[in-house]
Order: sequence, then structure tokens, then C-alpha cells
Amino acid sequence: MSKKAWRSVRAFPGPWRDRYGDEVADLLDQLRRDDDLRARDLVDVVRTGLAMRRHARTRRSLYGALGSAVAVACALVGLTLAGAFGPSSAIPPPPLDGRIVVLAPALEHLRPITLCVVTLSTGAVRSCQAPASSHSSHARPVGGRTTITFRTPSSSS
Amino acid sequence: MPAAGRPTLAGPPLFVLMSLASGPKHGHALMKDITGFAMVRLGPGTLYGAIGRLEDRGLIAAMPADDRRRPYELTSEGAAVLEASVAELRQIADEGASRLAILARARRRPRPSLGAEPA
Repeated sequence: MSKKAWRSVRAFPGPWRDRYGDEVADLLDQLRRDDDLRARDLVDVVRTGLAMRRHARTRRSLYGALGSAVAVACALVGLTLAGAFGPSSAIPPPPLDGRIVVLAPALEHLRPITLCVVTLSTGAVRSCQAPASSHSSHARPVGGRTTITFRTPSSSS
Repeated sequence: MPAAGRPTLAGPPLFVLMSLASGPKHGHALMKDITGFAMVRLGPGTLYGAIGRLEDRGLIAAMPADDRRRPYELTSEGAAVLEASVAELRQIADEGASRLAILARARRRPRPSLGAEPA
């Protein structure tokens, strides 16, 4: 296999290269032997390889974003069940502490949205009983995970 | 409209299916065959990109490798998709032909001269 052929095949993502890399390199070698290899063939291999890499990355971040959205939805359901969205009553609800750990690294992009959702669900809804500033929430990325801790306003504050 | 709601293909994947309809072929043979009947020279990356997608969808299958060359064959699902794609292309071509015929008739019809005085 010629060096040039192998270099252009390296543009493809790993699993694809393992499966088809030898065949593409063999085709390039065959074209070279037939004196039919054109510069645009090598450009085509590199261009297609880069497009595949981009496509694979997009798909991964889409799945990550979907996972994050599901995690946020689960958190909202949990908070709703815990009474965070309930109407104010004579007996104020107990303070709610919690922590959401989202494993998808793609949450990095969604962090402002997630914080906003957590803030809305834990602070603004109960702000009629306590100042919104009495809750705290922050996101802390730890080793690819993002941990969001929150505390709702306590009944005494 | 695709036959029985079956998905249809166009471009390089369709050319690969068409080529394999005449028998199993490896990459180099596919490239030469497609250049022959479609007058399109697919680049090696484009060709194997199409092969990969078609194999993922089960429309073609790899046969035992001969050295570094691996021939591919059409599966029954691939043949059905090719049939639907060709039917769709034929329908579009027929529509195009009938519209061209209407255009030709309209051009043959004598036009009133622009400078003529109304009677």
C-alpha cells in the first residue's frame, strides 16, 4: 500500500477505517497501477473522511444533548412530585435540597438552560414565600460529569 | 410516489445498486462499471461512503474477501429498493417527456404576428 494512499485513508473515522480502509487503499493502488489515479481522487477520499468524522461528532453531541434533556425532564418531574411547583398553602413545604448529576459531557452546552430550569423550579416558584436569593444553585463540572446542586428556600427564611 | 412506501435512492448509492444488479463486484469493478453506464466517475471516498451506508442498511452484503478486495452483492431488500427507485425515476422521466411534448406542440402552433392591425 502506498504511503499517499494510506495517509488519505487516515482521514476516515477509526471504525470505518478498520472496515473499509484496506479496500479503499487497494482501490487507490489499483488506480495508480492503471495510471488512472487523479489528484481529485485523493481529495475525494480526504473530503469524505472528514465529512464522516463531522457527521459522527454531530450524532454523538445530539445523543448527549438528548440525554441531558431527558435528565432535566426527570429532575423537573422529581421536583414536581416533591411539591416544588405546588400552590402555597398554610403549611409551607419543607426545604428541598438536591443534586443532579448529568453524565453527558454535552451538558456543557446546555448548562445555562439547565441552571435556568433548576432556578425556576426551586426558587422563583417559591419566591412568594421567601426571597429568591435565599436559594443557591450552581453547576460544577467534575471529570466529564456536571453536578448541579440546589437548595430551595427554607420555610424559616 | 415510491412503490408501497418503500424508500428510494438517488445519486451514488443508486448507481452502486444498479451496478450490483448485474452481478457481484468489488470496488474497482464498481467504479469502472458506473463510469460506463452513468458517465459519472465516483471518487474512491464517495464510492466507499455509499457502500458503507448501503451495507449498514442491509441493501448490499459483503462476500468473502479475495486478498484485499471484497466483492459486494445485492440483497433481496436492495433489489426491492432498486426497483422502487427505478420506478420513481421512470415516472419522473415520463412526466418530463410529456411536458416536453406539450412544449413542442405549443411551439409548432403559429403565433399571431405582433404588428398586425386588428380587423
